[in-house]
Amino acid sequence: MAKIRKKLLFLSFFGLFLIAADTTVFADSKDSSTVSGEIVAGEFSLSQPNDVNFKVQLDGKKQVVTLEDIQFKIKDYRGIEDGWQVVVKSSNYATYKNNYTLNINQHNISDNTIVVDQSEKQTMEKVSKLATKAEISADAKAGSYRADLEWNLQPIIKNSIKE
Amino acid sequence: MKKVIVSLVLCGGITVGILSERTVYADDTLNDSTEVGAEVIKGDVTLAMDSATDFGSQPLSETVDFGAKDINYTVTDYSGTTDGFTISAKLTDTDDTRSLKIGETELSETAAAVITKDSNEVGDNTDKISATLVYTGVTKVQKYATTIEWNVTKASINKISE
Repeated sequence: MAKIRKKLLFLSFFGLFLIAADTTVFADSKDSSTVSGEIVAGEFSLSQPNDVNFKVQLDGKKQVVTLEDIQFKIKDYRGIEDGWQVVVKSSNYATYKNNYTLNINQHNISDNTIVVDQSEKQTMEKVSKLATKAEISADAKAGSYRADLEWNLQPIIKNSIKE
Repeated sequence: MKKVIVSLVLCGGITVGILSERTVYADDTLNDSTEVGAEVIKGDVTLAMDSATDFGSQPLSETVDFGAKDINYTVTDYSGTTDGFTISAKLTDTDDTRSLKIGETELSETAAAVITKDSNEVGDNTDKISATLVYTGVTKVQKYATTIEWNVTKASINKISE
């Protein structure tokens, strides 16, 4: 019985050897390649801010009316680390300044450009919601007044002068 | 009578002489063969990929999709078998913002089979495979390059001998 087992064992090993001997594995061949793509400066934009309206009843006193937030979206895909700022001015300020003043993000709006929002560093996308108020003068006259606001997105460029 | 006998003897002798010159002896060799032997052994299996694939330029955005480009390749197979081959690919670096696919296979630093052929021609096997490149969340504008390491493997043939 032991001899038979030995024979079977031998035959098994021999069979495995034959299988291994007939196994053909070819050598691998290697190569390498490069895939490249250039990313260039993309969009730098300010979306259209929403309109706001208000209606107030004059009472002979100065009134502050909280308005709907002014919202807009900044997209900055310039690919640089510098930030941006949003400036605004009201070109027809003179036509309504005696009746009310607009305050956006704690800045009174006039016909002089003023920064109302900014980012010191790169932000790819940002939705800004700026608190907006109207300060009605005590001696405001009844009427319909329209404030035209000019918005502008500007890059903040930091230049260092070395001597 | 004597003349007849002499004539017969002479004729017989002449006949024997003639015939004796056409006798083929058993030891003679008139035909032979030569064996010309030559063994053709396995040749090389080589892979040649396009050395560079340029996806061009795209503007920076949240997702920069460079689209698809074909990469040409040639497997030259003189292994003596035509049972196909497998090409695997891997990247030499890691970049979480990059998605590079060969066919439907997303490449990584771990080799993955990207092309599998069940059969092939002896000699050159030229074809192409599509590659797609997408970057997500990139913040800098520059040229991005990726190195792919390719490897072709011939199929293993197992013959069970019993």
